[in-house]
Amino acid sequence: MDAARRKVIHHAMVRLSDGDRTAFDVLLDELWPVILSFAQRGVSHGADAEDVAQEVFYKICARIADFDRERDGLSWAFGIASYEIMTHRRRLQRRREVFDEASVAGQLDGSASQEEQLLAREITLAFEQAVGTLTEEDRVSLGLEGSTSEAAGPTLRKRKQRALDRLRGIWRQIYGES
Amino acid sequence: MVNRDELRRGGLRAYEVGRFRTAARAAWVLVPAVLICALETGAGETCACIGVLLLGASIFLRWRDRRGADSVRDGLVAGLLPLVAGLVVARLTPGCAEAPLLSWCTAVCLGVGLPSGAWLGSRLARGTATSATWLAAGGVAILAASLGCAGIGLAGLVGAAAGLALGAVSARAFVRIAT
Repeated sequence: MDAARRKVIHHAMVRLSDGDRTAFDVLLDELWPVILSFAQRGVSHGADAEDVAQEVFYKICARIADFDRERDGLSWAFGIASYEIMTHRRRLQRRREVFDEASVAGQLDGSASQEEQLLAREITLAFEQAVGTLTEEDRVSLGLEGSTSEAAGPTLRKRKQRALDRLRGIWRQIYGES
Repeated sequence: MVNRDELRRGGLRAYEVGRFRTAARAAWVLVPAVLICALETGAGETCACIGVLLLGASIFLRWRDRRGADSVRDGLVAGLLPLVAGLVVARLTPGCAEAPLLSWCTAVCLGVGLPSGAWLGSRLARGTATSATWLAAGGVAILAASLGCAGIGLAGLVGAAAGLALGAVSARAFVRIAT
């Protein structure tokens, strides 16, 4: 940044703070590329850098009425830009933290489903154990064996009912009421 | 890629809003002053009317440019003494409200307005004030003084305005002769 350009920016800022609206285009032409380049150095992502630079430019425009002409205009602008870049980084960091929390929660969901799978496997094993204690006839009645029952209609229903009652009884014996 | 026109539009909007916000800070001083005057003089409507005019003029001038902001500052400072004096006179002599135009109440307000006007005139005459600046600063000073003199009635208002104007013109002439 050469001194002449720095001076032009400062003068444009002073004029704008005095209420001279014609200095706006000068400020836009001279300051915008500087702010954009500064933001690009501070923010890694290109589109984000443009957004931050735009935000910085608007903030500078909004605060220029309070600009102290004794200060260097560019340093003042860089002060605002630095703060905005820091804010952007903090915002990103927070978003990342939220994202991490969400992914951890997702992982927790995954482990919960693993837990559920484990539980389901245990239940299946327990069920197979309980079923294993049933007689072959009961297993056939419940349709748990490959072969089909010879009985049909009400007889099969009764046998099925009795087999289920026995299975419940065995289940209770092994695992209690729950 | 950011569009230049969009950036220009947004920047200008932000600039004007920022200027207005800065200009509107005058309300922090003027609103309490108007409230005090309204409560002290009992002339609520007159104070509100003058207050709205003064606040509107102050915000507009401060928003427009730095010269306007300086005019508002100088005008308010110049109007402060007649404002306070008007409140004191209204408190001490309630009869002033019905006093005729040519009365000692008018004379008091005129007397208080003179040094304020002289200070304002000398200040403006030393700088590079344009006629618009004179008008703006003088207008704000008269409005500010009117706030305090509202309780005294028309006599007070005329007295303060005349005092300010006379003082300012005299000081201007004096500074011109001296330089």
